Amino acid sequence: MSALLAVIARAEALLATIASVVLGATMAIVATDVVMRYGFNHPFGWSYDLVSLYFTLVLFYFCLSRAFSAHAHVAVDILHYYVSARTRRVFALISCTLSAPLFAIIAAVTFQRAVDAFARHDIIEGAIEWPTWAYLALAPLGTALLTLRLLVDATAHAVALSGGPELIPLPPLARSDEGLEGASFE
Amino acid sequence: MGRILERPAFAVAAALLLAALPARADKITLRLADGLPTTHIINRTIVEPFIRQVSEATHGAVEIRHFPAEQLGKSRDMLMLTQAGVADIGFIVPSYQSDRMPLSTVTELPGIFQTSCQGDAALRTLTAEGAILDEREFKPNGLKPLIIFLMPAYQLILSSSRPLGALKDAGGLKIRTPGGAMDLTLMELGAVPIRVGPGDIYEGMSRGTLDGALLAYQSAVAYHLGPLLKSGTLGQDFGTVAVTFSIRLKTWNALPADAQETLSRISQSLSRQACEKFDKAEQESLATVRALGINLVTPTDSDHAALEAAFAQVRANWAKRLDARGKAGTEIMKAFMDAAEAAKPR
Repeated sequence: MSALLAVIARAEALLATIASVVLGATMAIVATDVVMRYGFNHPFGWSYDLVSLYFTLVLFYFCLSRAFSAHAHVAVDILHYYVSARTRRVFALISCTLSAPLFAIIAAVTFQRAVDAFARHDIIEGAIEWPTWAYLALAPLGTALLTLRLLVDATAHAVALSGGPELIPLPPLARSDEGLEGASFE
Repeated sequence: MGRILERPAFAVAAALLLAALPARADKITLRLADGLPTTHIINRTIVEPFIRQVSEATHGAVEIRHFPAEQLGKSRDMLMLTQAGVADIGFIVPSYQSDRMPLSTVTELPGIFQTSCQGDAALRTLTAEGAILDEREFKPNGLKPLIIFLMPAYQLILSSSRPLGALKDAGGLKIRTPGGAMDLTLMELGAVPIRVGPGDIYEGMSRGTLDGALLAYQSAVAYHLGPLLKSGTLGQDFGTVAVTFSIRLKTWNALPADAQETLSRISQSLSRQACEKFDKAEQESLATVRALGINLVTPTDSDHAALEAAFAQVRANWAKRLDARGKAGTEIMKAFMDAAEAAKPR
């Protein structure tokens, strides 16, 4: 179980690193594009499509699972202040158990769309022929990893609740010391 | 038997079954979704009459509920939304779906027809039941085209303060296109094509991320671009987009024959009337932009010759690229040009 958690954490770190590089590349491309446009009258024709079709999806989907495991997502934790740690873990178990099938469905549907687009050689017509499967494949990749993360977290919470070791900590409470110190995504 | 009928479970099942069966006299409600502002000419001259005429012809038996202005989803997602049944009738613009309907973007090729009605007639020939576009693209995408027409020929409109004295002045400018063949046309002119939906042009022009757009003047007016515009071409044919309101095939096949006949008849009538209405609206919109002081440019003779050469090159490149992907580009281009020739005003 610990090994599996470590593997998922590595995969999340890898995807988040790729997303960081893509974010840097996006800024560099947009800035260079502005210089090329106003300085040399030769803007990039591909920058808008590359950023809007591919890069923004990388930024979103590649950070999904990492954002969840780092507790960087939006979460409503009003009740968490009034219940015991054990009840909070029950909340976390329910949350993971309910979310996993939803993201599994998203992963399956988007995967099928990507496969269909690949099989049909779907291409967005235009100055550059952008293959659609390449950006459609980003969604199942990110959501499949999140599904795996949710399933493993649910199992870890169940293990902890049944008296086993606490393989993953509880989400930190906002404004608490642990929340202020340890929950930064950056 | 009597004992079975008395069982509560049977009664509940029978009630559910009866409730699920559609009575013949039931009203049919179809959801029509588009991405246009309610004031857009397409809504005023096509969608609203369509809804009203269908309701009148069926005495209210077929009701069409209208969801304009991307209420059900983005214009670019209309194909998927219609296929999924979110909408029964969708505003399907092949240029926005060029990955799934590449052949239907043939109307974007420049310099093929002289009048809107000629282009409309050619398009109707290709999308008729069993015709090449119906068989190759609409049916495989689970659609039946109902209303189908072309927007007036697109013009190059600029918000950039750069004066548009000749077409070469468009070189290096970022120009919005609906994608597809119009990208190739702009590249031939040395401009940089940017593919965005019409609803995003205003924001792009105001921020300076777009210098201009390929668009019909009536759309420019509908999207309130007038105050941003500085110049634009007049009387050119940069190609245009086909607009369809297509019904999901599953929904269509489930409709009673009389409802199908009514929808077909009214759709065909509106499709045939569309070109004259749009040509008239284009003239009115031209008057509006003229009044705003926009510099309307008629190309010089040398520009005209250069344009013709560029257009021929664009058509050849477009067909070649599709052929290379096994998509019958040359066949569809020839079919469209032949249909346009056959529909040429004598």
